[in-house]
Amino acid sequence: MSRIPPHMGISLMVDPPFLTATYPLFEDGVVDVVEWSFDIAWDASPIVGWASELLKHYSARKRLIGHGVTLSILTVDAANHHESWFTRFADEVGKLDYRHISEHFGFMLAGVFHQGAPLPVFADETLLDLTRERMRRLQHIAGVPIGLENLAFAFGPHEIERQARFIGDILKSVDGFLVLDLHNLFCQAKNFERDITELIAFYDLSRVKEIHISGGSWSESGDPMDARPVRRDTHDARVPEEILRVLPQALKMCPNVEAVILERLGDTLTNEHEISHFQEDYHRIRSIVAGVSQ
Amino acid sequence: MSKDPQTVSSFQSMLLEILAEDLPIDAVMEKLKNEKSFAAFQDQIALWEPRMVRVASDLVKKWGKRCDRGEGL
Repeated sequence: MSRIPPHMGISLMVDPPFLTATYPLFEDGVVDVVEWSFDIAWDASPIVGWASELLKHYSARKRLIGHGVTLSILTVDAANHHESWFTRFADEVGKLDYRHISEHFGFMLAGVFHQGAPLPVFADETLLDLTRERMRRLQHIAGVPIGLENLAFAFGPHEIERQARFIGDILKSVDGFLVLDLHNLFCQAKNFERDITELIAFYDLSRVKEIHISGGSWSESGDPMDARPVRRDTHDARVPEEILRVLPQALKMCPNVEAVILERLGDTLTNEHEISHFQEDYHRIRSIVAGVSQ
Repeated sequence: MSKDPQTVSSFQSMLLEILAEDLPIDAVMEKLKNEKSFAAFQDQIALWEPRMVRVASDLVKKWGKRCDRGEGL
């Protein structure tokens, strides 16, 4: 039986170079959906006119996806931050019409740190209970399906399957969806010498509603006893060929995907060369996604 | 076995403090192994790779911001 191909879209950035790079895509009508990391904009300057118009356009057509960054859903003790975040989130979903909304697995805030990058947690019942309650609150306020994105980072290879299992437990408890970030899995696969398709299979793929694709970079090890470089999810380069090769298989493995999103930091599209590669990646991914029904 | 929320909370805040310090990676690993409040987590920490701890430290140094005095999460 043929299948309706997922929508193809981008994660919206407000930097001028991002507009330069994506304008032809919008003009050609090949951006089916837009993903918006709404909470990044809460403390920034007012959203620039063209970005604001795009958000309204996609919202009105139920083609806008929300992707939170700063909730830090697995921080145990951040009551003030969480209260403030949920209050602003209620305001956000009152202004724009999101088709579904996700957050990141992990914790980035704790103690005196009010900003950071997501780090993994040790899975246990205490954290599962806390996270379930917060996901339910997210669900209640949003009034649309809610989900979590898998993490790029792991302290060691033993964590990879545990992260997948814990995310699965959380999502099952709230009937949430998974944002399967292929570059995050690529990072784990490269860092711990695993096969990416093996890592994909650790997840409950029936829950995947969205796939993220991006590029990244390599860091030096910094450990004199272990010189293996570390792959990082920096969203500052073109998509690795290996991810493009695995995408058709990933799409087959995830029968309920509704959207595939290309992510790129706007301020890294610094010249014509980078912009051209970004557009080329977008069209290649779109072509693969379109072929899913065949 | 589940840990009480206070133990996990202390671990999360102390971990960010240690990762934010400007120390060589072997000194960071020593701190992680010797931190008393990490006792319940040592079996897991023993499996951490130093190069990944170094990346976590870089992430906290790059993106981590502390609350102003008197503010709290």
